[in-house]
Amino acid sequence: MWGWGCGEPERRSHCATNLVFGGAPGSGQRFLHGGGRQLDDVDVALAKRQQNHAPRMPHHNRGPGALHMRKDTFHRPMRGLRAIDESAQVLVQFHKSIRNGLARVKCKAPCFEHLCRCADLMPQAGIARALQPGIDREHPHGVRFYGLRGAGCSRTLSGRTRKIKGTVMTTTAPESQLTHSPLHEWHVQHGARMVDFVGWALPICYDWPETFGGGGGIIEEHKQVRASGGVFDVSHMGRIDVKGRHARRLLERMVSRRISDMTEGQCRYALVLNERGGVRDDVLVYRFDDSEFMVVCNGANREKILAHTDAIKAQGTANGALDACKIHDKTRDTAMVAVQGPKVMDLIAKVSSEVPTLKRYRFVEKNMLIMKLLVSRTGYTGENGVEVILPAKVVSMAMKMLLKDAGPDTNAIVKPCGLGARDTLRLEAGMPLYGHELDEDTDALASGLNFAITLDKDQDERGEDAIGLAALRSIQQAGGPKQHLVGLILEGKRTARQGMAVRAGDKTIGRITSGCLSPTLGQSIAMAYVDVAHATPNETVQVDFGRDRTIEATTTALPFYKST
Amino acid sequence: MTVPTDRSFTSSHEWLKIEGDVATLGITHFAVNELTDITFVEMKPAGESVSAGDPVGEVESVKATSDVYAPVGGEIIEVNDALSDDPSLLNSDPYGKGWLIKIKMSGGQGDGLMDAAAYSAAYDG
Repeated sequence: MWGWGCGEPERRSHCATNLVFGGAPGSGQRFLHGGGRQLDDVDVALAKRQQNHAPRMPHHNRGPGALHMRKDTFHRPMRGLRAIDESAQVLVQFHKSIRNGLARVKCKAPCFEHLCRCADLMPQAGIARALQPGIDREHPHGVRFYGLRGAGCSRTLSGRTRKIKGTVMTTTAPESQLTHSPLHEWHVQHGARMVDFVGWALPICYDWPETFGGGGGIIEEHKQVRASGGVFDVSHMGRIDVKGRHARRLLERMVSRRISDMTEGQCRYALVLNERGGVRDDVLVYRFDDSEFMVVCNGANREKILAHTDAIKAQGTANGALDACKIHDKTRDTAMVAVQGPKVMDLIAKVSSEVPTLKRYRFVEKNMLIMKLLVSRTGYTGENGVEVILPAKVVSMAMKMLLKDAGPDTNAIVKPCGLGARDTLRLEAGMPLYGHELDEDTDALASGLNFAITLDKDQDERGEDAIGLAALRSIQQAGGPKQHLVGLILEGKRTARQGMAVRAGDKTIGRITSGCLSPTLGQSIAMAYVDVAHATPNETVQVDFGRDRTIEATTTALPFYKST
Repeated sequence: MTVPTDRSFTSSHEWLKIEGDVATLGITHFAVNELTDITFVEMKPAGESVSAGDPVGEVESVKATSDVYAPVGGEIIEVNDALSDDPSLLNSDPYGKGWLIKIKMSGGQGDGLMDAAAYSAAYDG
């Protein structure tokens, strides 16, 4: 539920992606009713008999975040559990009765994940993520909802209940509390429109300065990358060193692909699974040598992956301990920049003869003047290009060097591009995004990322089974996943949004995970999980836009776009 | 962009320009900026009656879909068809070529409207 005017609870408006509109620093916060951002409108059902026993929450517990109850439906602030998720700055307060299994919260997937994270931080609260996802038929878009309830209680809330509406918001996160990328000044100089993205102030798009000929914005930046080149700041992504005698085996235990057969200077895309075969995150593993690795993970999952890595290290495996390794988060000491587009190698060739010869998913460490760069032939746009990791202190200088030969002018080879274009580019390229195509409750096989899952890796000579692979093998043996990720091309120009129902006739067969009006194809495209019976190309389905409106769509194989 | 002084504004970021008994409705530069590139606009057709506070259409951007509400009641007499061919007019000229609909007002001139100074102070400052 996001968009402009989100402060008014009656306004129906929803966000397409995890990207959050906070507005420009200084103005956005007022727009957001004094700060914080709205994650979701939620329905809370409370057991009737708790009604008169809820004492007022102590004043100091009443934060601006939390399950804000609308005044007209609930006149007392929620009391009970209070948890703060530092990474996402989410504050949640639950009614005590939720702890006792006497209440439930209905909300959508991204909000649910934040709530679970808070619950994990407060294990003594005994909140379980127990209810199955369902479809909320009363909601105009039939959104998928998730429930939270107390641990150890029956699945359903029995007896008389009282329903209230609430809003889950992040805590007040004034501009001063957002993490600044090492390129913050550079963004501001280049006309960035900054937003709060998982606690970082990052550009969603730019109003390009006159030196670049003006213009900019998500669609123009998207086209710039497809036609020539763009540079993205992706410093919010987690960069975690894993070093030591047990590093290789620890990663073998953690990720869905073999680590042992990787060579030095190689990076490999893999999934970090949970015990049920759901996806904790998707990552790139870099191999420097047999005892030195780096994991690059999603910014939103950095804390989670760090905690998970520590837990694996502490637990060890049946094959022995894993404690002889050092896990170091170097995200804040470094910057990460993606340079993507068909012409960027011409530009890079001017400063390095080696980088343009790199094969895909290979990396090289370069010393340049006083800078130590790690350059990998990877990306998230479907174009040729590199991602560069470098010390935070020198990144501004490096950007100047890169753009010195790029223009700057209207025809610059490379222009600054924001997270908005990054999202539409990856969608055209059929690449999954955590929180949309990938989440903890959707089994990894359904995503179709089979290349990233080595089911039999424990059979290898030096093999070590990874967490979650056993669950995936069971799913495979039981006939495979019930749904598959497919591409959809919609009639007309309307955009399908995450959570919309996909139907075949009057039967609901799936849900949209991402959608956009493709700037390259000019068509409305989307990704969706649909029942396997409908997961073949050229099936006609309908996307439910709410208010009795559906739009016809045709299933298609991914990706939508491939660079030539 | 300066907020024009010849019209009124709502806290949900619509603008309303009243000439006689006809009100022209649009959304503000601030709203457009928050939405980013507009990709689709669909308003209720001419001839429909609306009450103050009713949704009168939807605006979609790369990032979000949002309803537009009528701050005044009356009959829709004209819809800006140019927007269906080129929704980006809303980005380039939200107070001019990016107008959405014209309403022939039947009731009052709307409650809770702000003037340009109040709106700028609250949102666009």
